[in-house]
Amino acid sequence: MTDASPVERLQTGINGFDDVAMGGLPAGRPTLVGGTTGSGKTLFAIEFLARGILRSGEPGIFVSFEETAQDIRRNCASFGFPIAHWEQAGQWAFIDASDKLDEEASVIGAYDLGALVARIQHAVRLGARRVCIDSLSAVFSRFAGGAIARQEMHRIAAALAELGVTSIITAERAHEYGGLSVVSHHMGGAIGPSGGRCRARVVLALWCAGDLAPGVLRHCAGHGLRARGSR
Amino acid sequence: MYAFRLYIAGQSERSQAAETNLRGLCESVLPGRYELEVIDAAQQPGLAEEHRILATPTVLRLAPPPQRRVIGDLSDHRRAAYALGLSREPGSAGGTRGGDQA
Repeated sequence: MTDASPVERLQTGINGFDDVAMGGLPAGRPTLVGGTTGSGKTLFAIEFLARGILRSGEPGIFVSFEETAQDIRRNCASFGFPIAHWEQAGQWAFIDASDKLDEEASVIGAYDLGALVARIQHAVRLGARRVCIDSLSAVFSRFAGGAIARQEMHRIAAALAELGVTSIITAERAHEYGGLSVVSHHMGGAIGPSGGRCRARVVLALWCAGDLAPGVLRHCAGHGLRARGSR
Repeated sequence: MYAFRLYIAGQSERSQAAETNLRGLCESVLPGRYELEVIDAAQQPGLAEEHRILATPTVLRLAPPPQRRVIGDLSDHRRAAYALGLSREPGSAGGTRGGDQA
């Protein structure tokens, strides 16, 4: 992969975003989407899948470490995204990795997230074109120490890149971008504050929280997200 | 009768360690009184989905209730026995004399 080659873009269909993001997200690659709590990064991820279904019938997979699938279905009804209907139609699938439903598990000895990787690979092979993982922060807090999370996100990003799906991985805190340097060569791009700390190709300095040039994401109830250039 | 399901992902050293440790533990504590099923999540992702398995190795104790879940290669036999409800004592973190309770 040469850095000079132009990266093919996948139009997200998110209102205004593709215009400020050089045509969309890097096609067939993972992109990191950064933003603090409440900044709308989960909504951005949801809408990325929803627009794929509405515009071009591209099936999507939502891997949720934060909200339960049930919460997301309910919250999305107000945006007019009939997720349960899409699930029945085979266009949307959840991998619900939220710990709310988890039983208490003891940890004894070494482990990795091999089963999660296998589940994602399996779901993608059923035909998904878009994948979201929400969020890196939750993976880090769940799997203590950070080393396992970092190593496994590397593996997941590599698996997604190999499968050739266009994907979003959301992240909350700045120090996690340090972790990104590990996965950067699998990442098509990163969306976040200036991106200076990561070696990933930064498509756009876009901070979901709201005010950094050149783009601003606005959360518009009833219309999903709207991205605006700040020029 | 005890029933365990061990989830692994591929035939790695870690997978084999978990299976060896679990079998050793069962043989010493529950000889002839247990069933162990090994599921490779890479081969049967649907079964991993069913029990919401993310980490491997993961052991589920399916019977008797309550269900218990232990993540890791079970390298510490004493703690593994306790976590799976096979001993009453938490044991030491060292686990040097693991699996010797009758």
